[in-house]
This record gives sequence, C-alpha cells and structure tokens, in this order.
Amino acid sequence: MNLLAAFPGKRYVVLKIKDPEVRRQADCLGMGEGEDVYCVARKDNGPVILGRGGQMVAVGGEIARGIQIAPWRARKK
Amino acid sequence: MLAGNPNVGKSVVFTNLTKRYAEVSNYPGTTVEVSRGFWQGNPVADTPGIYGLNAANDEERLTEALLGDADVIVNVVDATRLRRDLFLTLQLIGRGAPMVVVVNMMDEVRRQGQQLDLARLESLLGVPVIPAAAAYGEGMEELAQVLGGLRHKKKSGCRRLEDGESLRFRANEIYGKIAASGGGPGLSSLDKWLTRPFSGLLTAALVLAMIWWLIGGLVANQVVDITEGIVFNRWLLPPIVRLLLRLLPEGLLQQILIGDFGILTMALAYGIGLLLPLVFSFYLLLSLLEDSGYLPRLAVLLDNTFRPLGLNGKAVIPLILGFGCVTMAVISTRMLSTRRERIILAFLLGLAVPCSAQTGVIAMMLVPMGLGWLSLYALILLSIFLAAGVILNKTVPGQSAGLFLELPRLRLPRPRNILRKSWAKSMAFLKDALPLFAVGAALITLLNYGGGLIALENGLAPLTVSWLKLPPQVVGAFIMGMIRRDFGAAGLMALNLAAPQRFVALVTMTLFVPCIASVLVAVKEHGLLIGIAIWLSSLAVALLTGGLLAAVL
Ligand SMILES: Nc1nc2c(ncn2[C@@H]2O[C@H](COP(=O)(O)OP(=O)(O)OP(=O)(O)O)[C@@H](O)[C@H]2O)c(=O)[nH]1
Ligand SMILES: [Mg+2]
Repeated sequence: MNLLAAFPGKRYVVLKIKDPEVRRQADCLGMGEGEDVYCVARKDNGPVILGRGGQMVAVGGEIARGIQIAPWRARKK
Repeated sequence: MLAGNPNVGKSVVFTNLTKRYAEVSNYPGTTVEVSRGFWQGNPVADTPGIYGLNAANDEERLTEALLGDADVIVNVVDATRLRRDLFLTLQLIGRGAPMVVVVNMMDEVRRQGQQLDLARLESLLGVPVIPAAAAYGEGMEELAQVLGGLRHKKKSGCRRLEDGESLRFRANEIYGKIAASGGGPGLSSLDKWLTRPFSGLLTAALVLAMIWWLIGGLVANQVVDITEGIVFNRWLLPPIVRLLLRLLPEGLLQQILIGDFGILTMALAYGIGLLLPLVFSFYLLLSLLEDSGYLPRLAVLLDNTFRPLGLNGKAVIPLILGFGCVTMAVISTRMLSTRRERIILAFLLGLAVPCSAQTGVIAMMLVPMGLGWLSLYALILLSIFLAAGVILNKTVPGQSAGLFLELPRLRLPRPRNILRKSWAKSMAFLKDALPLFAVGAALITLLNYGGGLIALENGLAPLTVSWLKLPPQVVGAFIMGMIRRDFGAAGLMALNLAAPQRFVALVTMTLFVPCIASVLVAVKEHGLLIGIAIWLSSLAVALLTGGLLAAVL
C-alpha cells in the first residue's frame, strides 16, 4: 500500500521511497526505509503528516503516492 | 562555525555568542545566507540549516565549503529531535575538525519529562556535549568555556564518510542507548484545527482580517495621526521650514529640501511619519505568525491549492514574508527546492504582493471606503495572482518538487525576539527606503522645476487620463512608484481621489513594478533576463488591469 492509504493514528513501517532525493532526506530525518512511523493526519489527496518521536513531516500528495508502507505489525513476523 | 539541522536554534546561539542579531523564526529555513560575527575576536559564522552533508542543494554545498576552513564546529542539535540530528552530527564528526555538540531546547525536554543520558552521549560521540536552552541563555557560559579550550586544538585527519544507511543505523543505535524510548506526542488539538480544511481556512481568514483591521483601522488612523499629523506636521516640520525659508534663497535648493516634493517635507515625512509606524506594526504581527510555527501549518493547508501554480505548500512561507518586504522574500525563496519554483514565486512576489509599507498605505485608503471595495480589491488581486501562477506554471521550463516539509512544534512566541526582529527589520526598511525616497523626491523636484513634470503629465495623458481615467497629476505618484511602490502609494494619498478613481489607482499601484531593490535581488538570483521580465510584465499587467477596471467601474 502507499502512504495515501494510511490511517491516522496507526503505525506503519516504511518499505520503499521512490524519489531518490526524498529517500535521502527521509533517511537524514530518521524516517527512511525500514523505519517505523505513524500517520498523524491525512487528507484524501495529501498532504499526509507523518510522525516519529517528537518529529513531524508533511508529505505532499505526489510524493506520498511514491512511498510504499506496510502496517507496523507485519514487520514483527 | 555553527552547523546543524534546520530550526534547532543555531541563530539564537549565534546571537548569544556574538551579540549580533541574526533572524530567528520558528520554521525551517529562516537563515538562507551565512551571517558573520565575532566571539572574543574569533570569526563566527551562522549557516543555513541542513539535514545532511550530501552536496544535494545549495545550502549543503555552502556549508560543505565553509567546513573546510572552520577551526571549530559548533553543532547545535534539538534535544527533542535528537534521533534525527545525530545523523548530521556523525557526518560532522567525520570531518575531523574540533567539535562541540550543543544539545539545545533542554527546557522543552524537561517539560515533556523525557530522559536523556548526555554523559553517555559524550562518551559515545567522543566530543564534548553541552546541554543548553539558548533562548533562555542556558548553557552559553559552558559553551564559551569549551570553545576557549577547543580553539587551540589541531584538526585531525578527515575520516572516510560512510554511506547514508549505515550512518542512519549508527545514529539510531546511539539514540537507543541514551534515550528512554517513548512514542512521542502526536498532533495537538490546536494542530489538528489548523491543518483541517474547514477550520484551517477559517482561521487563516480570521488571521488575515485581524491583520488588516489592526493595520488599516488602528495603526493607520490612530497611530499615524499622531506620528505624521502631530509629530511631523505640527511639531517638527513647521520650525524647520521656517528656518530654512529664512536661511536659503528662493530657488532650486529650497525646493529640493522643503518644496511640494521636498526631501524633508515629503520623503522624510512619508518615510518616518507615515510608513515607519505601519511597517513596524506590520512586522510585529508577522513575527507572531513566524515565531508561533503557524506558517508551516499554513503550508500543509494550502499545498493542493498551490499545485496548479507549479508550487507546493512551502511557497506560502516566502509569500507571507513578502507582505513584510518583497526584497527579503525573494531572497528567502531559496528555501524552495527547485529553481523553477523560485522563479515562479519571484514573478508572483514582484507582481501581486504588496510589501508592508505599501499594504499599510493601501489599507489606510481602502478601509474607510467600506467592505465592498475592500473585498473587490482582495478578489481582483487574488484572481490575478492565481491566473499569473497558472500561466507561469505553463511557461517556466523544468519540474517542480512536491511538499516534503518538517513541521516545527507550535511555540508561544517570545516577546523579546518579536521586538528585536521587528526592530531590526524596520531599521532595514529605513536604511533601504530613505535614501531612495530622498533621491526620488529630488528627482521629481528637478523635473518639476524644469517644467518636465508638466510635460510628462501632458505627454502621458493618453495613458493616465484616457486609459486609466485618472487626473494627470498621478504621474508624479507613479514616478515615485517606480522607485518604490510604497512611496508611490503614499503619493496617491496626497491626491485625494474619490471612490472609483481611488480604487483604480490603488489596484494599478499594487500591481505596478516591484521596487528597485527587489528587482536587483531577482537579477542576482536568476539573471538579468528574469529581472527585466519581472519588471516589464508587472508594468504591463498593472496598466492593463487598471485600464479595464476604469472602463468597467
Ligand atoms: N523552547 C526553546 N525554543 C528555542 C530555543 N532555542 C531556540 N528556540 C526557538 O527555536 C526556533 C528556531 O530558532 P532559530 O535560531 O531560528 O533556528 P535555526 O537553527 O537558526 O534555524 P534555520 O535558520 O531555519 O536553520 C525559534 O522559534 C526559537 O525561538 C530553546 O532553547 N528553547
Ligand atoms: Mg537560523
């Protein structure tokens, strides 16, 4: 699933970020591939607000579409 | 030199060390140019915030270049976002220069009741770590002590940089060792309110209305009545004019100083008596928006609205700054990630965003005309802004980036910073504007003296009288407007125009050519061609819109 399908309040793990520039930035922020994040708020076509620790990042619609996530629990298996 | 992630308080630390004010606001990307100062005779540089050292954008390349020469690196980090910041910290340590880590915002960590083991952090990183709350002066003496010791240390060799992933891995590992893990707070209810479409727009509209009401109603009437009406026109000017009338022979010099367009009687009276109070109060209100952290929320709210203009929500930050000073806003467009967005926004700023001084005068003339005219004005400007944006999106080549913006925490603005910032910006306004006003006033007096003004008024009559349906005397105001639009707007005020004409003149002046300083900045950032294009297109759109309005109203 991509980020636009995330539910506010739920935790997810970031699987893949398509845009290389966004991937690099997300990694610097500690919200890159492999990290777990939670969806703080979302509008239907974006932006999605992602949280992790005390941090928050707003992600616009197009970028959100290029970010693959999975529900957080899946990683535990 | 100071280095660190955006919005961690580097500029506050800089001001603390050097006693020189560097602009401080609560959004990432406040500092866009290096500021320099001195601490105990040693040069100190405040740099724009960066997320990593990957030479991925201008800021990172700039910091990279400065790092080469730096004797000591002061890495400022945000204690509440340590996990993020450690990534850059590790990269900086890799550069081998003596370094100290300032863990800032400890006050907020304490308030959240979070535990951080900074002694452990120090031993893991191998560089001194200082807990601080720079905004309250905490930790600054300790920093000075450590800096005193580091000054004489030699650089060790550059260690090889690791690639992003393992750096991130190590940063997370270190963070795991020093912090008691916690989920972290989600959006506060205020945050939700601000970013939801309906309540967010409602708040934005209320904020806007408040600003207009305060500036147009309160300051423009009560305060300016005092500063211009009493201080200037009753106390200061009459004795000076009397004195100069006696001292100076009748003629050009007298006209230049105290004539109808005199440097003292017009330029100074406009600049200080009329515009300064407007500008200062405007900056007070803008600073509240900047320091609370409201602007990035507005960016989230407007992201989708901006997309047809080839911009993303982030553009709202320089845009709002443009209502303070268009010139500074053009510089701060650097926070946008692509050149394409920067050019689009530079055009829009030059065309349809009136700066604080101009907005003040316009509010002063429009608010008494009533809500109808005021709404019409807002509607026309907004439509032109959007139309121009859509056209620019179609014509400016390249690709725009999507929104990817960190949201700072909402904070209660600190009054001290609000005052200091507004003061610094108002002084910058005077320094910029007064010389230009003086030159402009002298120029018009000269024209007037030689009969050139009358000739121009007659020569341009087809444009002013037939097309814009305005009295020929507006030529003077528009010449002033070529120098600075606020000056021109003030010139319009002296003409005492009645309702529809006043409206046409105001709209035309708002869209009129951007001030010389902002065009120069646009030329510096994007080249001569873009600068000229901005200037000419503003002129064309202004005259076209004015004429059409004159025909309809
Ligand atoms: N609570 C608290 N807030 C602080 C502290 N230091 C700075 N701030 C606030 O943090 C925000 C950012 O400060 P700046 O100095 O502009 O940050 P910067 O690192 O220069 O940011 P950029 O120039 O955008 O990279 C401002 O709103 C400051 O008032 C602190 O010690 N405690
Ligand atoms: Mg700064």
